[in-house]
Amino acid sequence: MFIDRRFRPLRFLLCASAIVAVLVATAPVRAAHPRAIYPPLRVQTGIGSSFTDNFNLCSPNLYANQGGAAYGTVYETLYIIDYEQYKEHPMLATSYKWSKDLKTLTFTIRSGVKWSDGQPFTAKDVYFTLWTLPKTTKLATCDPLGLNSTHLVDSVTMPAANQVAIHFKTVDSTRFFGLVNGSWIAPEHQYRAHLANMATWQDPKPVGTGPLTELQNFTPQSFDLGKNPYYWQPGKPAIDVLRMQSYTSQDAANLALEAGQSDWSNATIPNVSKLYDARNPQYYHHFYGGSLCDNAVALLDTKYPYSLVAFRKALSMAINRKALSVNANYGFEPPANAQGTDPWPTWTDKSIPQTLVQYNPQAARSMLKSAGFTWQGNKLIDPRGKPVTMSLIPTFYPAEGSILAQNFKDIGIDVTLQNLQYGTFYDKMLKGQFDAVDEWCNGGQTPYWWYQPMLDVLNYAPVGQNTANWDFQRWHDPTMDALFAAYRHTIDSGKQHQIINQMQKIFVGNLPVIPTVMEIVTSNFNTQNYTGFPDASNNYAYSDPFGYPTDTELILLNLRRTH
Amino acid sequence: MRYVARRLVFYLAALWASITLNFVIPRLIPGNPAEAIFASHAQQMRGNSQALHALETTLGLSNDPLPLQYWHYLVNLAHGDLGTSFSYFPSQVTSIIANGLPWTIFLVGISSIIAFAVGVGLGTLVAWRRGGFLDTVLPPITLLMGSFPFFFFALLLLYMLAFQLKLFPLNGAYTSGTMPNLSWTFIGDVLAHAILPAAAIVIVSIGGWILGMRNTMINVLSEDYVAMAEAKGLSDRRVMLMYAARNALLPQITGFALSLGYLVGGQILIEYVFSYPGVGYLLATAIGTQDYPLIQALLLIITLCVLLANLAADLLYGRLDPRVRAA
Repeated sequence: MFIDRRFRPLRFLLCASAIVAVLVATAPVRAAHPRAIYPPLRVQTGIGSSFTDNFNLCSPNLYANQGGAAYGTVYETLYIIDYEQYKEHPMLATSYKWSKDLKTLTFTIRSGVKWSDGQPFTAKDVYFTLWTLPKTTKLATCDPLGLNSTHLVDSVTMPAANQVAIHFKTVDSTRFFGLVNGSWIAPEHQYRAHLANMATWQDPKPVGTGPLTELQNFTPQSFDLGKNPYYWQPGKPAIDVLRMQSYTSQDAANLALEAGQSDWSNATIPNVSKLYDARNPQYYHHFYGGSLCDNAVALLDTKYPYSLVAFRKALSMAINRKALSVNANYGFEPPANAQGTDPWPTWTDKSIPQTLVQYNPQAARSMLKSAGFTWQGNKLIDPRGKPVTMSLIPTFYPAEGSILAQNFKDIGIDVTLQNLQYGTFYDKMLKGQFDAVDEWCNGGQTPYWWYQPMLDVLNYAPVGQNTANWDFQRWHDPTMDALFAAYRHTIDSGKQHQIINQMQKIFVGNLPVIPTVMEIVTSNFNTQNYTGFPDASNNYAYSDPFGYPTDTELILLNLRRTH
Repeated sequence: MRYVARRLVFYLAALWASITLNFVIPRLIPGNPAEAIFASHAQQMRGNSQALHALETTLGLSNDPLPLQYWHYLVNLAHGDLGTSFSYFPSQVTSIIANGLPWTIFLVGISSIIAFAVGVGLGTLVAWRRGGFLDTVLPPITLLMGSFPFFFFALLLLYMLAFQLKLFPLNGAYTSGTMPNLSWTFIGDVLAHAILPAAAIVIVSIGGWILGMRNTMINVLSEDYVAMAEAKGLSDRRVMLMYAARNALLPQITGFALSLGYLVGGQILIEYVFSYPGVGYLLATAIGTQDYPLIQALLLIITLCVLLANLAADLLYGRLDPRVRAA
């Protein structure tokens, strides 16, 4: 019936009007969008997940669920020590002092700061965040002092109305670095009401001291943070609105970046000068540089023949670091030095020879021969007569894994690559269930922060149990442990340099893990609306947006408008 | 009536089986959800296994014996409590799914309907003028488009039409920075963002409908009643649509009802390429982070939809085709 000839004009009218309606409705999208007073700074973060509007500092997913964007924008810390120059930037605290016995750390809290709802910020908020909150809720996620996990703090007191003092049980001057960078201060007047159900409390209206606290336009794909009307640094930030954007894949994110829909991203784009910069040479820039820490191949040093120093050193000389850098990392990551101290040039002992990190399979073979290894055909046989096998976990670096496997096969080792998911391989690393693993790394103020989590006997757990920190390879030396303890007992820079030099010598002498390439920071940015991002001439902070939110705050405060 | 009752009992049994499997399967994944949460965290959280342990306690990862966990699961299900997500803790699973499910239903639903309607229409035409120009050209082309690697095809569409020619938006369900509302501008915005993903789905799936309809039509066209209708002097259009297509449509409708069941499984590739919110990619990331409650809820929804669609198809066919009821 509807198909009858009589209905032909009606059908035609319906179809035509449907098409016209769609065209008309979609047309406004292609017209100019209404603009904010000043264009927002659009940052890509949180690839692969969507946003949840929960800004509770104690939520275990606070970093993941906003792509890290709650930190450094809404919330601030007592101090910021950036991850590039390692300078101390006083934020909510104006100064600090260690007691003579290095057991008490006293902060003087900044005055004249207000929360974003107009209430005054005082040292009481700091006391609440550092002590009352973790003590009452017993949560580890809002516990900057580790009261519920590491149990290193005796008490927290307020020696004056504007001072907060932390009393440690043991001496460890290195705690300052991690402590201040993780000391996100919560507003007591808001959090106090929710102490009973802190783990499940969802906070969609955050209150903070930071530069960008006004949450607007929240959707699972993007949200805006507007300027804090009460921010304590006058004239800052230059940003009116920070827009966080999430995408389901890095490809979609890169397309948006290249189309000019984002201003800042941490994507690693191969051939970036041609694929990104060249699209808009006036505004599109990238900075792939800076330094974070050295990646390394960790071997299970309790297992024979990985327990032999000569074997580990030979493995190091068999690795082609240039291939790792160029073929697996697009040439962006430079080869590491033998003692793993590349990110800290002022701490590097330049007298240490670098033969161990030079690609030399011949030298590797001679070293193996002198240590009692032999070859049957192409297979390497250890001094006890067994063929050498290796199960290698590439972790996040499958391309590096293939190159390493080939390098080791070339000296006769029977290598099996184990390509696993994050949860599975991290579990194996913690428990020491591997032969070799291509591990990522942690940065810190000095080489102590690279050596200590790996090599200090305090982190040791036997194979089969979870190690406390980065001690996957389970190698220890009493002299090294004594050096770590000595470092913790001093804040004198001269003494610290001496200690680190000795550590470097022991490290190169034993090579418990094999440094491979240095991890750098990648950031791509668009200077049409904002300028002042870190670059080669001024690398003042870790330039990966929200990679280290403390550093991101420094950058957000440093950006200037271009027009 | 007995027919309907029999079908219902069968589907209830299938429902119970799928609910149980739904409970068992996520727990077979190796690893630990708390460790998986760390995957997207900054360097400072990696390597801190004390924080890991504390996280496990916060999430309430249960060490109860499995039968007890299963009982809790059934009780909660009966109350409509799908639990709290791990990776989006402490958000409720229902609210997370509510973010994506409407978009999936909207996009994939509309695309499926368009693909079906256009495909069936074209299939009718192609069969009617068998051997003609349309018949020679259309089936091979649509088959080719259908067997094209879908991922590559979607990327190509996105790159050429959205990126190079700037004809369509690059990503998302609506322009970022706008809040969903019921104005015409927003609806237009949503439609504009849906055109490319819908086009990708339609182009790839239309081939199946065209061929299916064509084949059934060819069978029906050889029937006596079609010859009778032509002999009666009815117009070509009337015979083609009211006599032939109407009968050939029956199996296609069943197929369509069945495909609607899989609609909620989501088109994960579409969501990945076009950065479109939906439940497909949500399920994939939930599996990666071992978010048991979310995985279970999504699988449950998918299973329910498939079962419902099958049931609907069964009952619908009974209604549409009197011969089945009489048998």
